[in-house]
Amino acid sequence: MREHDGKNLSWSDRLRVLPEADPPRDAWPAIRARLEKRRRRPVAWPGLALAASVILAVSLWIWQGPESPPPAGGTPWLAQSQELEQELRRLRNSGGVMNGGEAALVAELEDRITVIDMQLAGGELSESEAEKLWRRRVALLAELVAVRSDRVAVVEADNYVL
Amino acid sequence: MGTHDHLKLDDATLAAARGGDMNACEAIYRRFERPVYNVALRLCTDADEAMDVLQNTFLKAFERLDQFRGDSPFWPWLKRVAVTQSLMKLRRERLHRLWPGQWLESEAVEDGPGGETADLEGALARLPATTRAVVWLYDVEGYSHAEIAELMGKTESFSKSRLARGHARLREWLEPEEEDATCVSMMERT
Repeated sequence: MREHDGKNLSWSDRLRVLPEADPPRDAWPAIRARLEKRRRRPVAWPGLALAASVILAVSLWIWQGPESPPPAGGTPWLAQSQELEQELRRLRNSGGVMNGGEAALVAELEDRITVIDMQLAGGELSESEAEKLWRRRVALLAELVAVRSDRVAVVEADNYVL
Repeated sequence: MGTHDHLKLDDATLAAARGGDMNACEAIYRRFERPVYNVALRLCTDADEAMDVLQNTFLKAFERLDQFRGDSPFWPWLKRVAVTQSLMKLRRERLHRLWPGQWLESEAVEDGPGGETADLEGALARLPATTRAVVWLYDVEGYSHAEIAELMGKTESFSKSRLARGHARLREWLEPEEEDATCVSMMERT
């Protein structure tokens, strides 16, 4: 039974009658454009492991030769990526079994990272485009670390209780 | 039962959208854009973030339409996508506030956006993001504590405690006289 606030109206009753808002703009044109672009894109490689995609991304940098500078802004983002991946490997070994929600979230994040790695490996990016993709990659990895960390915290808390 | 659970999607439109018919996809978008936007807005409180969630929700939904079993209502399935996208957005925003160098989410209760709390709308927006999410998902969208725990990667105890905390804060902000009376009454009894 939903909690009452003492005025014979539950919080549920009061919250449900809050007014709704209309979206400030029509998102359909942008959604349609991305759906159509997606359909023109080659099929993504299923099951591309995160480690393999890092190798691809690293290879992009190395191809520029030992004397060439790495992609502008690429070095710090690459270093952060590698740190996060190390943290992820550690967390994968210490966390328990994920529930459905976590697994879906992790799958979503890994999908997005795979797409970014494919774009990075594509090799036809301007410096600013590559930097944007690297920043996005680092942000997604950080999010993956957060999800895994939460799972480890739950496992540790459960173990403590037991 | 949550709000908008009465919204239906006919089999023909669903089948056409699965087949890649853009007109059918648009029909689905038009039918559900407002409820999706409002779920996102209540969880994220920011209109621009809610628009991002709206867009990502439909992109994800159209990508995974083949995973939707047509024997159950469409809106709860779509709503779950919207909720997941909103929670991811909230998590990302918290990480950005901790950046740089801090990979882990802080467990400290964050201060929600400042503003008028004299009305329920303002008070809800002022709740910390996670607490607000639990309150909205439980009280309005009709999720159980078990479902909320699964969505957020937390335990049922977490969901229950955040709900209680959220209700306590709302009561404190909206009915301070009653809160005071309750405190006085409790003190007189001791």
